[in-house]
Amino acid sequence: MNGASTNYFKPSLIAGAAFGAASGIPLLNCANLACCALAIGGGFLGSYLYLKELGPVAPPPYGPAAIIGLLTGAIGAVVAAIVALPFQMMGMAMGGGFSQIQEALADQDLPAGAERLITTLATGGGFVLALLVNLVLFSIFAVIGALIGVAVLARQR
Amino acid sequence: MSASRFPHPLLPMLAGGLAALPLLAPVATAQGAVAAGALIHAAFSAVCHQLAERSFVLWGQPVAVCHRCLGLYAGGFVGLMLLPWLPRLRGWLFERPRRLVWFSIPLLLDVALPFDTWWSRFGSGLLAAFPVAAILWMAWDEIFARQASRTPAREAAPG
Repeated sequence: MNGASTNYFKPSLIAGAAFGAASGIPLLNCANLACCALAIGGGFLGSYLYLKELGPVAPPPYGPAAIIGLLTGAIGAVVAAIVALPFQMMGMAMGGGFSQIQEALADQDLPAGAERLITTLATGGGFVLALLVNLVLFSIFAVIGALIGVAVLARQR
Repeated sequence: MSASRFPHPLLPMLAGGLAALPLLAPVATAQGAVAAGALIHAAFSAVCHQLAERSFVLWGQPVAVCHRCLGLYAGGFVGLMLLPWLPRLRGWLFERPRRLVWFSIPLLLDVALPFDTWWSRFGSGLLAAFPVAAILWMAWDEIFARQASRTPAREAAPG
């Protein structure tokens, strides 16, 4: 794969921690509402850090960038969940979407099973589900950010 | 230029799935699966503002993402479907990969200017994501070509 270095973890860890922390803090995480800008930015940052170590390379290392994006997204989702935990305990951050389900469906005539599921999601289960959903979505957007980053930043040898 | 003539079938399937999922929310709600519709809405709430006035409406219910986000998701899928038939465009893109930024200029203008409409949001999103499909395809080919090239070497290794 381009003969590019395979040290993907360090740039992914730095970028994932940075965008994950931002995604976990209320108000700051609103940037993600603009087409997941923080996750795309995190992937971009991961690519930048990787290319900085790698130096000029031809052709741009798209494969490694995708792996870095995937790792960055996964690390970011976990960091965001950890950072958001105290805010969530105060009812401010991640998992809020699942409480909204409960509010939205309050006046619906739902089967007992569905009501139980929604109650679970709005409490502890919502946190776990939000983490899983963010793992998938943040990874997708961080991969896209990392690929854009490598396309824009890679200097040809 | 991409190593393969067509992207791996899983890639357009995944991109199409991502583009279709927000559309399923109003469909599910209209069909009576209210919890499923709300669940899809909640899943996308972390990555989109979901303002009803800036989202398409199907069967009286808003789609789970806004016009622009849906355009971006659709652009990735459309790119993966059309780019195999546009080898000269792919070649032009890979000649100078920074050219993909040009496709984002309408989106940036649409964000910056105050007179955006549903079609400008959706269209500029679609255009911005279209060339990204080419590098996504290239990355997939690179990753799996490397794995394929590793496997025989490992099998041939002694002991």
